[in-house]
Amino acid sequence: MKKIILTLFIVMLLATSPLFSAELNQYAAGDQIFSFHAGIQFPAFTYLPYYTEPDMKFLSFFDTGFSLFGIGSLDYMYFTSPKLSLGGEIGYGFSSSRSSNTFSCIPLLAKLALYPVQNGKFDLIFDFGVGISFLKYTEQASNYNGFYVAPTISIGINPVFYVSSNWGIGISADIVGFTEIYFNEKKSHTSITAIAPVRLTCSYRH
Amino acid sequence: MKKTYIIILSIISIVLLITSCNLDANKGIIASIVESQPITEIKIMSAIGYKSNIAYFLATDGIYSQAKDGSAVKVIGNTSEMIIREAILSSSEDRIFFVAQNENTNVTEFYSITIGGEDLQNLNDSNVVKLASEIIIRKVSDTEYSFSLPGLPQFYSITDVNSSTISFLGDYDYVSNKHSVLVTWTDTSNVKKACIVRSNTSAMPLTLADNYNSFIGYSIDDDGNLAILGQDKAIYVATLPGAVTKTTASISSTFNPTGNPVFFYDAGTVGEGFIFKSSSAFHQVNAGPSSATVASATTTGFAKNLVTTMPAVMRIEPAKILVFTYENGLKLIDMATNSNSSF
Repeated sequence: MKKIILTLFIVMLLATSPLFSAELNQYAAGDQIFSFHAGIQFPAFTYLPYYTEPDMKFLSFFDTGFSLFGIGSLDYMYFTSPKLSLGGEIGYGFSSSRSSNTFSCIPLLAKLALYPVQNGKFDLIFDFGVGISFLKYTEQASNYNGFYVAPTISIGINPVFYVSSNWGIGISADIVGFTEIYFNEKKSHTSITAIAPVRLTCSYRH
Repeated sequence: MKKTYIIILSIISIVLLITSCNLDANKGIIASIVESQPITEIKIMSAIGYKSNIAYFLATDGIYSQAKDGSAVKVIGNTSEMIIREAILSSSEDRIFFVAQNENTNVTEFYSITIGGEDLQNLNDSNVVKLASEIIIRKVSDTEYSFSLPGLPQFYSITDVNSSTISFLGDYDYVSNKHSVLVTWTDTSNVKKACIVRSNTSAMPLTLADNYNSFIGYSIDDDGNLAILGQDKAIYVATLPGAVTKTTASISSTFNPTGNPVFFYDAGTVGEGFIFKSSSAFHQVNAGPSSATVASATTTGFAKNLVTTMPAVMRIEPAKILVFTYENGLKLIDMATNSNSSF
C-alpha cells in the first residue's frame, strides 16, 4: 500500500511540474476514448459493522481472506466538454480465499472523468464511477454458493502518456468499494469492502 | 444536459435500490471469505480413535496419527493392493484394525497394525463388513450380523435381517468410554427395526416411533439420553432403554442436515444440550426424554469457521469435542469457553 501511495504522489508531482503544465485543451465535446486496463487488485479492507465477532469487524489487506486479484476491464468515455467526459466501464476481477476457492467480480460502472492536465502528450485523469458489481463465490466444503449484485463506487487517478496522436499508455490506481446489505437474521453479514486495483492502461482516442 | 444527468442518476438510483436485496446467497459472500480456512493436503475421511492425547484418523491416502499441538504422521499408506476403507482403534491392544480392498482383484481383507505402523497382519477374516466406534461387525449369514471387540468373541447379534436394508452410524465418546453403533434395518417381514450396540459390550434393541425416517446422525450422553437427527430434519429422542419418539422440534427447511456430527455437551457458557450441523450452521438443541427445542442456528463462538465438511467428532472431555474436518485438519471445540482452536 505504501508503494501505491508513493506512486500516486510521484504522479501528482509530475502532473504539477512545468513539463505537464501547458493549459492546452486537447479535447472537444464529441471526442471519445476507448481504454483497456489489466492489472492486479490489492484487498484494502473489509468492514462488517454487525458481525458478531468483535475482532473480525474490521480487517485489512490479506486478513480479509482475499488473495491478490487479477483484473481486466474496458471503458468508453465520451467528452461533453474539453475537460469532462462521461461513459462506462465493464470488467472482470477474480481472487481466491484462504480455502483456495474462487471469488469473481464483474463491475458495471457509469463513469465521470475529469482532465485537469492535458497537453497532447500527457493526460492526468481523475475518474469517479458508480454502479453495480456481480459477486460470485462458491465454497465446496461447506456447500456454499453465493451470488450477489452489490452497489459499487470507485474513485481513481490515471496518468496516460500518448506515444502517438491516438494511442497512449498509462497506469491507473483506484479504490473500489462495494457493499452487501442484509436484513434480519443475515444482518450480521452486511459488509463494506474496498479493493485497490493498480492497472496498466492502453488508450485510443479520436 | 441537466436533464441527461437527472436521467442517468435516476437510473442508477433505481438499479441500486433493486440490487441491494440479496438474490440468492444464504449468507454473505464477503463474510464467507473472511471465515474461509486454509486447505490441508491431508483429506480426512473418518475418525479411528483417540488415546493419550493422540488422535487417529483415516485419510484419502492412508491412516494417520496426530498428537495434540503436533503434525499428522502417517501410520500406513494406501497402495494399489491395499486401499484402506475403514478402520478402528483397539485402545486395549494399541493396534489399529482396518478393512482394505485390493484394487486389482477387488478382494477385501481384514488387517491389523500397531499404532506405530509396525507388525502388519492379515487376519484372514472375510466376514467383516463394517468397522465403527471400536466395534467389529461381521455378516455371519445372509440374515445375521454379529458384533464384537477386537480379539474377543461376539457379544451381540441380530437376526432375521434383510441385508439390503441394514445401515450403521457410529458415535465416539471418550468421556464415558462407551462408543456405540446405531444399527437400523428392516426384517424379512418388512418391519423397521433398530438397536444400539456399545463398546462396553452392552447392547439393546430400540423401540421406534411408527413414523421414523432415515437417521443421519445421533449421540448418547452420560445419562443415557439418546438424540437422533432424522433425514426429515426432525429430532428424535429417548432415555435408553425407552422408546424413541419423534419430537415436534425440527430444523428450518432452509438448513440441510449433513449427518454426523451430532454431539452432546454438558457444561459451558452455552448451557447443556446437544448440537448438530447443517450445511450452513450449527444448531443447538435443548432435549429431554420426550421433547426437544431447537435454539437459533449459530456460526459463531464454538462454531466459528467450522461450518465445513466434517466426517466425525469425538467427545474427549465433558465440554471438549475433537472435530475431524475433511480439509481443514483437526479442531477442538471448547464448550466451556464457547470457542474452538486447532488441535
